[in-house]
Amino acid sequence: MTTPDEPPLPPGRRPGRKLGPIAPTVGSAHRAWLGPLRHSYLASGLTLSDLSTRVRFAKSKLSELLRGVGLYPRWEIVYSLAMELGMPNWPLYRLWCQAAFDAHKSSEWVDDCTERTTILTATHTAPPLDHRAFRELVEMDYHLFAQAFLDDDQSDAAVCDTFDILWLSWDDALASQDTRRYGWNVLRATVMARTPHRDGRPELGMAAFDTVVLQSLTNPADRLNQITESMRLFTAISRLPAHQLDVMVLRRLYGLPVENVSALLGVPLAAVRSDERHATRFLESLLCPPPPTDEGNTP
Amino acid sequence: MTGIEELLSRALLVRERTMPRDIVPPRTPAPAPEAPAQAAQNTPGGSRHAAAEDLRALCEALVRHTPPRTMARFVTHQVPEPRAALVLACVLQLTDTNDGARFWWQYAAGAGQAAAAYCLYLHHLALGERDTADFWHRQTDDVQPPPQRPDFDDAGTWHPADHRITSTSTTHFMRILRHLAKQTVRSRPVGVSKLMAYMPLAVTAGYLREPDTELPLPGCEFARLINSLLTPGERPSVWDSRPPAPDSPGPYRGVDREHRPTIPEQMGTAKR
Repeated sequence: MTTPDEPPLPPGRRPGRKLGPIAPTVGSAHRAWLGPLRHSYLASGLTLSDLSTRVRFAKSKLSELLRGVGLYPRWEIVYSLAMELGMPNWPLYRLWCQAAFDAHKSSEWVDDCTERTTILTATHTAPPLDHRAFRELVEMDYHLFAQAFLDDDQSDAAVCDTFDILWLSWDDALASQDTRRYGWNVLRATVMARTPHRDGRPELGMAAFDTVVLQSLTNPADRLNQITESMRLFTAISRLPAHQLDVMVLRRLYGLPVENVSALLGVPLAAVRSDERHATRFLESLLCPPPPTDEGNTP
Repeated sequence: MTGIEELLSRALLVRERTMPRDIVPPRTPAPAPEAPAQAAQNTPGGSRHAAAEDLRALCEALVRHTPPRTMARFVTHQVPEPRAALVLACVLQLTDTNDGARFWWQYAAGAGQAAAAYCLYLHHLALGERDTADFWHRQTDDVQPPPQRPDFDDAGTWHPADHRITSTSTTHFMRILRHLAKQTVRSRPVGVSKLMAYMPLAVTAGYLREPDTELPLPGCEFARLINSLLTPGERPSVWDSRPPAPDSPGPYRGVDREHRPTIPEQMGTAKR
């Protein structure tokens, strides 16, 4: 899917050599992410030199990347470009993976393309390089999710277990429709296996002692009131179905932006917003029900 | 700030705990992943699975019984007509990933397709989202389709989307559909299989182009590509010989006829 109408150069921009078109040999999945990337670049007003400096990638190689010629680009460089140009992470990553597979039809290639030196041998003990890159991207946020439910030792162990499991099943993770989502499902299962449950719901009440607002209260009566309120809220949140619970923990308990949550869970922005809306509606019905009409209050 | 927003504003947690939590060793082994969901739903564990099966069966039936031309009807280059959106969402649901299906169903339900509301009911039920599922189940009764003549292609043919969704008949209806679905997979039309291969990519590309919109917007080639996958080699006269609906709802249809790309060769003449 090419973009037939690429935006004209913004006025006042010094024209360098015009960016050539996408090579006709580029496959449909590759084209699906390359088109929007080019569109964002052309709309940014940056010259190729500017962009090359910002992402620390040779200008000639950048030109090749933007035309879809040469070697299929590593995720790290595509990610850097996306961050620089303000493009959404999750759909770009998924399309990049899909196109990588289409181009080379093997998960070993996806490992190889990120390996700067030699092809991995069967006797290596360190995780494959792209697994390491994935871990760097998501580890901090995985820790946040785990520590909402678990004490520090348990949450550290759960996150470690998650990455171990992912390393062992990395081929499956890459072959799945969405590596991010695969990773998240492993984290979730690992955390929930260690979380005490009550009435079938994971215990979240203990998080009431970790709120930001509590840290600023000194009066014991105020502290008690706040803890009581938080416990009630978090217990209600724990009753949410899985996807909505995850979204609320990440969005409301840790204040992560919608874009970050989308990238972490491997779902569209719209799905995050939709889940958040439904979850909030449920919590409102539980915690802030409308007053009964026989008291004469109009809703 | 509303009550709930005020409550949620105080939900933020610190990122570095200064006081470690009390370490409570678990007394009972953690339950199996499925068990908590079952107990919470207070229904037999199979109900989520049953809902997923029902949804699959309904999607197969809707896809099977919708003429390709209906599936390929678009309002703009990227936005399908409501009935087409309903069925495209069903095609997506049948693939491994169904991102975007929910929003096409919501759009179709908003435009009066009761079957879309029912799909949403089953979709949320299969995810264990009981509350949201109930919301859509209530909507199914409220959603009223606009009065329209049966499609020319559908004359005399029963279509599952026209079945009145009532709680009494639905169980029988779903049982029949599940039975039909088992046979349908083997005889899926070629166009549908091609759609199933193309759609996940298109939807992801749509969310890359326009991340802030709910409806996937896969680009201005979308309508043309859907058309070419579903109606390859169609002679224009077959489509254009369809008599115009005398009680067509005015500008909506008019816009559609004007903008709808019929076959790829006519793309150049389609007004934007």
